[in-house]
Amino acid sequence: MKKYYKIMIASLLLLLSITFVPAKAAVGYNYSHDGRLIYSTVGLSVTADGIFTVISDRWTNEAGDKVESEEFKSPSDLYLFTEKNGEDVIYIVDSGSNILYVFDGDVNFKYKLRSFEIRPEDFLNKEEMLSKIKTRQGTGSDAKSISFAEYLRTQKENKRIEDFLEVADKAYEDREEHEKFYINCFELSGVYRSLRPKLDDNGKPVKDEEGYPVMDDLIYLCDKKNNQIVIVDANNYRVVQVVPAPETINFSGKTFLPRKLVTDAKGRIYVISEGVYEGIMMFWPDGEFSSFIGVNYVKLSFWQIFWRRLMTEEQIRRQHTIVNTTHTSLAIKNQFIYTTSRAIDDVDDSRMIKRLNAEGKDVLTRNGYHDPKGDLLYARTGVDQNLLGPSRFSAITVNDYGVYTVADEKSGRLFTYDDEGYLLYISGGRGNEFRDLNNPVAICYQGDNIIALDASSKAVLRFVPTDIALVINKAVKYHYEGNLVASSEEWKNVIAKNPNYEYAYIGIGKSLLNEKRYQEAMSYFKTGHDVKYYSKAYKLYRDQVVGKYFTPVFTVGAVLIVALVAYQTYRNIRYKDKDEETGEGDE
Amino acid sequence: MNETVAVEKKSFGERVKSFFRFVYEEGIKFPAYILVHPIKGFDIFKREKRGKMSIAIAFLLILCFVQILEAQYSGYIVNPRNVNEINSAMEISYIVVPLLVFTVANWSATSFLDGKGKMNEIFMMVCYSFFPLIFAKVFGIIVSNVIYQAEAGLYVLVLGFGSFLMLYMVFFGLISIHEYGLLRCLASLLLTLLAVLIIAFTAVLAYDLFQKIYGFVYTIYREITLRYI
Repeated sequence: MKKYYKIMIASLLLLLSITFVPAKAAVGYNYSHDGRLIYSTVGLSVTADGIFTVISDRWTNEAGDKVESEEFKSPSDLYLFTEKNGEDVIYIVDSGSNILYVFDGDVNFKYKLRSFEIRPEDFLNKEEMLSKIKTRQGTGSDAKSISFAEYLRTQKENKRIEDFLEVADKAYEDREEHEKFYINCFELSGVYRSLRPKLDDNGKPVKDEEGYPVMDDLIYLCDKKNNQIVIVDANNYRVVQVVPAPETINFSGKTFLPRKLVTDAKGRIYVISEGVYEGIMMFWPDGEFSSFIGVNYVKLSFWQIFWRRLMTEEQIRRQHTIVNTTHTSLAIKNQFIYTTSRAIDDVDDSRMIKRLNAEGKDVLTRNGYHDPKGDLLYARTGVDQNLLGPSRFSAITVNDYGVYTVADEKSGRLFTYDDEGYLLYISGGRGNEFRDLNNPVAICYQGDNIIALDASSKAVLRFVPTDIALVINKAVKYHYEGNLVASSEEWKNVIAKNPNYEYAYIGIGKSLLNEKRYQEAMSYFKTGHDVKYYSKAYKLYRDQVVGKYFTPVFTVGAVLIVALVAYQTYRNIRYKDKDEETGEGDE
Repeated sequence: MNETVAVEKKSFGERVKSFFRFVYEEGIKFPAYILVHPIKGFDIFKREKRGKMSIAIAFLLILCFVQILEAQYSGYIVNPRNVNEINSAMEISYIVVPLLVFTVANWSATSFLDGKGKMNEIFMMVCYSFFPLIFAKVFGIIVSNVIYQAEAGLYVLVLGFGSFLMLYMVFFGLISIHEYGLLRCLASLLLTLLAVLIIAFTAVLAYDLFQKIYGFVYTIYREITLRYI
């Protein structure tokens, strides 16, 4: 009997050990076609060698200079620029210490710049611009913004602007310390680098001997509290131009607080300024303010309008004002500006990501299962403001084949969409480890990798695509290039790795549709839950079937009808004759 | 006496024949007649007691069946829902619950407004009115399988027409059964709506109360088990 119990207990334990396998749950997730959460692999992950902070060896250069932790307390922007020779340069700015850090493509620290030299020879005949330049005096809490003229007066031996310009006649090597001038940025919050065509004094592009336009290689710095954009040469970091706050009538009464910017191929500057609700500010290359583009208009719901109609002026004044939302970040690719902004409320969260054309109109393709808006499911009620409401995007980056990734500072996640608007994968997430992304402020594509700047852990993270994300990227790339067959092959590999990846079935279906294999395409579109393409395939299939069977069916039908009519007529005649005969007989 | 015995001793073939004749006469011909001549039809339905409860229940069952078929077999273009998540019981309840609520509510409302209809008459009348809807749904299932997205309007039209005919029959049925004028009928419908709301409210209230009582009993049960057992 005891033995029996022992066996019982042993088998029970065995059963328990089988049942409670310590399985590691899938870490990532994705959204299915009907908006449910499904387990999925993460798209991009941070490996151990992809974490860079002030304690890593890479952030000390050969000269022994390094990124000091006191001077890296509030990193605010990161920009990755690929030079002509294919080498990447990463710029990071810190809004507390106002330092521009320069790294190479592998995030090795190269050098840092605390201030930018301004030379009089670059500003001859530009007295007006000089009079608007501002610089910072003092550091920390004593810092304040002063005009360049005051800087000359107080710190450069009572010089005037004219004296400054006179220094230009002296050779640079002969200049003494008080004849060298610097601009100190005040809350450096954005950095951007691009080429723009060099213009001569008449505004015509300068061409070299072979007829190619000469390009200026410039770094743009958002000097927030000095209310200006400082443009420095990318090679010697000398100030070449300053874009001051606009003084036009359409900007009166507002403060210019540039936060992030991009430029297009012509050199026009697109700036997000804090507290400006009219959209993105566009400046001409010469620094003159042009107009606002891409306004995030607020739409009032029916009930909001209804209640506001009934309210008195006093009540409306007491209610918190409903204003257009500001943009939070922007990126430019192929002359399209990708922007992110906050949702107005959780009623209208579908237009947080935009793709603006030259007119400032939103032309983002939204063919996916859902509009691109980060997390589909989120808390709508509750007390914790940090968890409430839709995703709050803080950064966006676009790669060469139309795939864009947005960073959600609420959840610390990266959402990657393709050019059609399908959610490809979700990566990152908050946590207490270094590899977790807590407060992304800037992200940049580096090939297939993403370089992210985390303002919370003061770290740069390199996200590397996982195996499946690499295949997905390839498939999307081929599709973008119009190579449906190659794309379909890659989608098949995706399905082999994850059969629940619904979008892959659409990719295969498109290729089959192209090959006129309609029935198979229909089945794939059905699995991929794409009604539109299913309908397309079905119509072609139906046309095919109808075309095949119409002639025989119609012929047989026509022959039958003719035969029937003939038979009826024949009978009628015979019957009528008989009838008449009998009728006659009866009479 | 002899005659009744003779009726009972009908042969099997004759009985089948008379059954089918009954189905044809009462289940197809008469509802079709009502559809075409609603006032006269429902008059016969009520006064001559042509309305049969067996036929009404048969219509109800057929409609429930067709409703399930619709969920399962209408074309992918108009029905992209997950076939694995279809719940037949829910589909049936979409038909039966509104029918019962309407019957009760209408009977309550019309007893205020001097309606002459009995509750079983109202029930039978609504069930007879399912007649065009059944055909529309069956036709809709067939149509939905041969259309593509741009033609989906056709499917909507078929179903909409069926629903319209059903409402048309219900409306004239109410007029005839309660021996109402047009305005009276509209007033009774408004009152019916009110009654439906009251019933819904009561149902929610009762549900909530039962949940509370259940919670109370469950808490006591837990307390006792945790303390004494």
